[in-house]
Amino acid sequence: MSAVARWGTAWPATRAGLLALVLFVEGITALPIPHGVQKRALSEEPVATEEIEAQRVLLAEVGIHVTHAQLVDWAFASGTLWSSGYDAVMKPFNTLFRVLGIGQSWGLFTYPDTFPHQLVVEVRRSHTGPWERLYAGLDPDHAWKHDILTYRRIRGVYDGQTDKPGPSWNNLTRWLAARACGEDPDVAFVRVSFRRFHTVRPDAPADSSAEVERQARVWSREQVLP
Amino acid sequence: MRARVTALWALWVRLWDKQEDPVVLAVVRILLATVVLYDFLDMAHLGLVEMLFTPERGGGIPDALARTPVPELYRWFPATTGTAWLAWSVMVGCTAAFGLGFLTPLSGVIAVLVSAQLAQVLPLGDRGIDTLIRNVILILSCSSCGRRFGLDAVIFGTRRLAPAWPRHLLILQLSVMYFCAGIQKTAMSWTPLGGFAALYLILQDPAIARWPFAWLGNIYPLTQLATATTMVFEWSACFIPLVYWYRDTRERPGRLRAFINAKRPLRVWVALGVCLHVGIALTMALGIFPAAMLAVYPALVHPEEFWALVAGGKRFPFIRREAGR
Repeated sequence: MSAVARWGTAWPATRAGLLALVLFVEGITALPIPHGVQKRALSEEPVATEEIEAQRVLLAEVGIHVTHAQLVDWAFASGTLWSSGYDAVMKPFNTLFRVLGIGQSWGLFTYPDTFPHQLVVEVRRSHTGPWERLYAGLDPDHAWKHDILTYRRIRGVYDGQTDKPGPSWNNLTRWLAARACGEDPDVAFVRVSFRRFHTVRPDAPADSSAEVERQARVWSREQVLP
Repeated sequence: MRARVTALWALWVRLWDKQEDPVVLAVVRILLATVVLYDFLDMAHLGLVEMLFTPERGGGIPDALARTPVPELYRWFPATTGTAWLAWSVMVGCTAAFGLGFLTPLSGVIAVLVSAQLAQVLPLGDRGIDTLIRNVILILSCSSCGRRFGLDAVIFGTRRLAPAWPRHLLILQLSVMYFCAGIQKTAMSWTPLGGFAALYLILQDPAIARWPFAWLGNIYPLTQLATATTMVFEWSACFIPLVYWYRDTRERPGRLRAFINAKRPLRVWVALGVCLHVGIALTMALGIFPAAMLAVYPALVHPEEFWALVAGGKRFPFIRREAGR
């Protein structure tokens, strides 16, 4: 039998083996394992606090009595354990997954945000003048740069930094400030912030106590325009 | 025991060794490339290429140079707007070539690699749908999809019979994605215990909703029904491979197999999926997510079914020629 013929015979089995390996590795990445669990986030972030409290009440109703703090400890310990195991198994494949940008992590709206954030862009024309609103999420009367600020990648940048803003939040607010100053020579300051509020079910009483301004960045014309 | 393992292995090898017309994969290729092209052209139209993909040193918003590891794109090329435009141009060029079926495996793999680099440059701007798109393009790049309705077919010749495993992997991908999305929805509001309030809550989020939806409280039960339907749809995705297995082994006995083959529940599931994504497109500002998801749906259709579906178009000479084969 020639080498080509031998390869033709061996190929289906080789391919089946490769596919088994791919499915095994991808199957591991698909496991619903939390990554980067932080105790602070579990005990301080309002969505997590609300969710854990709901679970504590549910457990109490079926006769399992634990405190909120115990539930946080358990969630943190089990999350860390699973996450460590996952990291160990996936270590040989990390580079491949990073270079190809592939994965099977599909947490689509896992936890609907009951404390959503509305992006707000305001300008001031003097040191003492009032803040004038240019943009507010979902506000048709303040829709400056609406197409840009609702573009999915931009939305991902600001919506992903509501609780723990990183450098790209600073850079985004600065970029927006430069655009606002560039378009209107009277603008002296630009403020970009979030208005956080609490969403409740329609059958629950409204809660306005949680409404706060967060992660505000103020830029002056001199800072953003050369 | 050994005989049983050998038999199972033989079954596994046979499972991935089937052949079929790659026409459906070609349709997925064209649809998905169109969606990705639209996304990148829209990005340029909005003037966001430099802002999204140039590191802050070059005037953009990513902090790519401050993270470890620095993306290869900015290890090998300078951190300038020119590099951002170069990456964008290669991405658009390769996606267009992939859609046209020109050197399909090569153009597909390059598009995946560049897209992954852009994801590393600005991770927060890279959404779950981008990962799915890369997964699907990578699978399609390993298939013969360019040899159907593509320039590769003109250059290298049409293939009317090719390995079926890429389409089977796409089916598995959809099944895994929906099922995992379902089981990870552990928030109370996705369950009866939380009153199925999830969709109502999501649509109050200004970063997600396409329109103001405060009025949804007036039709709250409908949003609860939509939430419950979403959960049923996503959880039931784990049965898709079983449905295909039953279809593939229809000659075997079993009441469940006979029932499923007779009632064709997949049609109901697909209809629900289409409604779900059309609903998302109408109510949420998630960009290309619904269109990209629906672009993969043709993979659920067997090539024979595909030709049966387009049989109505047989008055067109092109379709008559292709369907007749």
